[in-house]
Amino acid sequence: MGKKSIIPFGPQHPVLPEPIHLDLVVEDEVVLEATPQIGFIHRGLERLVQTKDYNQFIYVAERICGICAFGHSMGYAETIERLMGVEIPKRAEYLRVIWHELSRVHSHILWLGLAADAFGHEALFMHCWRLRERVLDLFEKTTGGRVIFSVVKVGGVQRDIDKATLDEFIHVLDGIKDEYEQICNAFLNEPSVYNRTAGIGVIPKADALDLSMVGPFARASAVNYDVRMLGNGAYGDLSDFQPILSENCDCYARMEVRAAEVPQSIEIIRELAAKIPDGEISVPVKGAPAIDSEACNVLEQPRGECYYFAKGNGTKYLDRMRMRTPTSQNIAGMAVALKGCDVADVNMIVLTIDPCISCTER
Amino acid sequence: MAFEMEFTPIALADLHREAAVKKTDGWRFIQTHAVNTDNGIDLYYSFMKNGRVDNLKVSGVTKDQPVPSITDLFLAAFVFENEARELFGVDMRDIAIDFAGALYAPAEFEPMTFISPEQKAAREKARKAQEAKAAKEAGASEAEAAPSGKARVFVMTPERRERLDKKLANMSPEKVAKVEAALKAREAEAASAASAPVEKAASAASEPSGQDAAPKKDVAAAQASDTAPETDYQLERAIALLDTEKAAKVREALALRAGEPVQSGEEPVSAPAISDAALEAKIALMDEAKAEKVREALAAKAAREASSKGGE
Repeated sequence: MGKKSIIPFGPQHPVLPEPIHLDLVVEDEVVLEATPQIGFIHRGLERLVQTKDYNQFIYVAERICGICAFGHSMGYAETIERLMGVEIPKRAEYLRVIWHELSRVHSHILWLGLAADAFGHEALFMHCWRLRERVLDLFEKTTGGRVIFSVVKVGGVQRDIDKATLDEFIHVLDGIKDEYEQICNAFLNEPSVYNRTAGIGVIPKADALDLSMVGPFARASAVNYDVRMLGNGAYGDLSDFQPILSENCDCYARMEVRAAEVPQSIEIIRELAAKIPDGEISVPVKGAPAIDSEACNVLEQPRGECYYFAKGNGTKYLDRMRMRTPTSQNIAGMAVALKGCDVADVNMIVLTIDPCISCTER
Repeated sequence: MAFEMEFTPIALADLHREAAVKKTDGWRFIQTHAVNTDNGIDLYYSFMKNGRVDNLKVSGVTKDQPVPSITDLFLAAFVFENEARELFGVDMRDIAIDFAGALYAPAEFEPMTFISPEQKAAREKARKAQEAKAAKEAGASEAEAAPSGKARVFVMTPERRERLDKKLANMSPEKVAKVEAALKAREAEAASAASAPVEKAASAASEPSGQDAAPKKDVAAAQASDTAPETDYQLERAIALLDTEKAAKVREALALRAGEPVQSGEEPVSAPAISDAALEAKIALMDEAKAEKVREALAAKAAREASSKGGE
């Protein structure tokens, strides 16, 4: 029987892309308990909504996070549109979903790179990020930005994508696919990776439901939930959408789910690019949200379900804007997953929830 | 499965029980957040099942009211409950992972409950504007229900011409041409509206039943004068809701209108001066495009009424 001690993990740690602190109560090499601590980068962005009008806030919303930037602007705009009863053109819905799915592709490839880095495959990490560059180039070409795009506005989108560029999207994504499969081969079939991830940080389905987990983290525990299956916006026009699930419930399953979601997103983009209707890309939105009007919205970000809430007060400034990001929901699951693991596996488990702390704290 | 949202008000005392019911019914916990209001803090607890989002809303929680934590049912709520305590000052009790005020450790105490005087003033103004709009709408629907003698057409008086000439002197030739064209169109409209009652008079003279026309006219006049005090009252109410600057403008416009020679003599449909004045004051408050539209609509209405009377 060893002696209990506490290891402080983070907020500055090589494996952590963003600051989160964990107090790990360990006995020998086994973690008995993990207490998460966040709050190092709280910026008060929800408060800013009271001093920026509802059109300006869209640019604040996309600065919540550098990876889900597009998703936040889209989710925010959808909430305001629901609040004010605005119906946007079909073409704008399609364009939003195309960019959003492209964001998912780049986010998941980025995460795979970080995972490779976490288990010590430097070369694999570089291959992932090299591939991601090609997706970022597509963003740059269509929006002018690589991280912050600023193409969404309340009532539609700012820029259109012409047919030739959409075809180029498909061409580039098809080009990525082959290389991506090779990389996935290393992630999913390499014994050293398997040994490092399989059977680690297991959360059974019942616990995942109990802990209200969301996103690939939950789907890896066989929770059949993905906001996209609710069919909001252009997702409703997809011929078929089935969430990607895994029964293994461990770190390997989380990697498996994310790896499979990239081709799924590419297929969504392909289908929508073929179906996209012609027409306007935005409608003018006038006036202000009514007094005491309330609306909420959910959106599947790369990391999972994101919840938005807005309340109007008759002025162009909102009374309250709430963004509940996927990581805030998954922190409880992570704390439970860490119980009973080896100290050496802590970094893998923390990474597999794909933590985004700037989202969590806003 | 499609997305639906609803907001269900519940009492603070029922909060924990309602959350437990949601848990046993298989709802998934989404989040908790607080909203600062004039009557305290509103707490929202969101749950989802089969695409339906139910937001349980506890209104007006004050700082001395302890709020039970739901982390014993849904552990994931711990971040949000700590947040509500630190940023809004909600007295959260028994949180499973309690940061005791050290989650964000904000420099300011309960920063989200502070509303700047500018924000307060803007909200107050918006509320007043909404009330004024509601009053106006109510007034409009009442006026619609009552038979109205308000209809009138645009008439170019010498004073109007003088004012217009002054304005035109400062404009570019293209603009002057545009204004003149618009004026001509309006005059033509007025002329066509005026021609209808002439026809009516002619038909009345030719038909033997024309004798009935005189008493009918008296009834119409009586009805019109009946509606006048009511319109006046509505106008006063509308003015009372405006801010002082605007109210002064409206009163000025009213006084000006009352001082002008009564145009009912020139007009095809006679109307009491006060209801005209009220209408003119309302139009004065609108922007130009809207005012133009209203005038057009009025002219059309007058023409319609005249022609229907002509048909009798």
